[in-house]
Amino acid sequence: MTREAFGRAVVQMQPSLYRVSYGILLNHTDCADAVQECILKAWAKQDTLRCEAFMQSWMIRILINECYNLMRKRRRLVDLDSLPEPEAPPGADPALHDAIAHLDDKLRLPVVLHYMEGYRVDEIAKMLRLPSGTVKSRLMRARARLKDMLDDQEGGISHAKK
Amino acid sequence: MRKSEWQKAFGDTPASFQNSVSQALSRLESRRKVRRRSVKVAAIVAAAAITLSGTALALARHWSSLDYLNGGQQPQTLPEATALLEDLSSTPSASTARVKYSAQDMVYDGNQLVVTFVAEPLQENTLLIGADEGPEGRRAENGDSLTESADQQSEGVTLESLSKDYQLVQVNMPSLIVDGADADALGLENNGVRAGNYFSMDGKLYYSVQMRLENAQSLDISVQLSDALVSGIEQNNPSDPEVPIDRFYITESPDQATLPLAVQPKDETLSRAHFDGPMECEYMTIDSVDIERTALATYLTLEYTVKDNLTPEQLEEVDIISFNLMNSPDSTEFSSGLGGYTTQDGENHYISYHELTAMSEMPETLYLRPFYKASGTWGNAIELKLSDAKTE
Repeated sequence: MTREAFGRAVVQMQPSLYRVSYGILLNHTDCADAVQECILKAWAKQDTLRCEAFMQSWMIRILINECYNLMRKRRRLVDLDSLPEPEAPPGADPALHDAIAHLDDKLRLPVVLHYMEGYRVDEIAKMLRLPSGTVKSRLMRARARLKDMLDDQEGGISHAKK
Repeated sequence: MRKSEWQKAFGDTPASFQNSVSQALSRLESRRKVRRRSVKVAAIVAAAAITLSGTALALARHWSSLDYLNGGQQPQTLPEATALLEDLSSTPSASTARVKYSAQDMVYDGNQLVVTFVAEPLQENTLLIGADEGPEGRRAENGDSLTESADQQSEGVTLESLSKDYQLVQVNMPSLIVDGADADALGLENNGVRAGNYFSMDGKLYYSVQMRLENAQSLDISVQLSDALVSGIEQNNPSDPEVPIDRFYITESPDQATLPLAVQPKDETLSRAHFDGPMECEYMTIDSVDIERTALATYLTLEYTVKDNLTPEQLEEVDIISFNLMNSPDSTEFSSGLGGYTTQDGENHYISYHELTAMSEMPETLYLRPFYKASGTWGNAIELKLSDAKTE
């Protein structure tokens, strides 16, 4: 893949990369760091991408790893529990943001990948190296918790279709 | 709720994120890379101190692949493992403009491969920095004076101060290409690549790379090595001298070298035992258990089927499970787990591989006991009698 084609593809998937990294890190500065590492790593390892049609899920998988690497490093430096709770970014739906942000880490990422990015359960299972049943149960638990948190919101997630 | 409504949860892509993407891409386009790394300077400083004083002091013993395997709290391998250690020092080396790379030694028992590489600066006043990434880097620990000495000498020294006397070069983690596939990528797919880097007192940098290659066979591996000049440093923790962590920047494309490596397993299996199931556990049926002993490790392979109609909570328990071998049903852990992974092989069928500390002999009776990490509880122990097993 040429640099131009690679760049075009990355720009196109930029919103997804942002949402996935934010779904893990909940911090804009860290997301910016993680995506930079992800892009550099993906470029360096592009010969391991067998089919360009799968570039987005391949990039997201690299990004998820970079986010976890970053979290491990941050843990060494600061007590993550002492950090203030993330505030909804400009333009975000604050109630939905806060509800998703309050989910356990392991529930939040499947929600982002499934409901925001539209990946199927089996695709998420492959990305996260989890059995499909686990992804399903996490989505189920996440839905239940989100519903609890959002049940006073009009048209809450009980209408979720994906 | 529609996808577009879900996507509103995190708002629009912020400008800082877009800038970061553009920056990364523009640097790719100009074949320049900016990488931000954090690094502990302690071990680097030891090497620096020696070089500064003009003393060409070599490490009393070089770092080997067995040192890497035994670098934890207790030795993992058996004494016989030294017979598996293959000297690679006479194999060809490869160089970039600043660094000479060579393979030093390896061990390969047909299940796992550990190779140790040495990076040596080619120019005077060059200090090599390892990649601070991957699993928590193991450093020289057991009785090795390196870490202690480095820590003593590192007080108050930063990468910034070192950069006044040295050109700093970051050496990236070696990448192993096996039959056309990157081992890093394979690692994501379960090959369990782990690595650590070590600094020697004479300024050399040792990299040990460990990967699972369970189908004992001869392989041609292409090792990709690379380094890049550190072009900028930002000290980000001046308030805490106890943790001298610097950030450094790389603004050039890595200089790359390739090292060919032919590996041939020394299949020194000491014994094998195969136990047929079914064996009932809380949430699964164990279909079979295989235990293989080598001088490097004990390899435990389990095939199991998760029971139908489990609740989400029970599925969660099965999801993060570890298997332990014990010498009694409820007491001492015989062999602690060093690593492992599980692959799904069908709707409810799984194969789980575990690498355990090497056993000097196979006990007559072993107990297999699952530990459910989600709830932090132990499952019931399953008795494995050697007399019931197919052995060789």
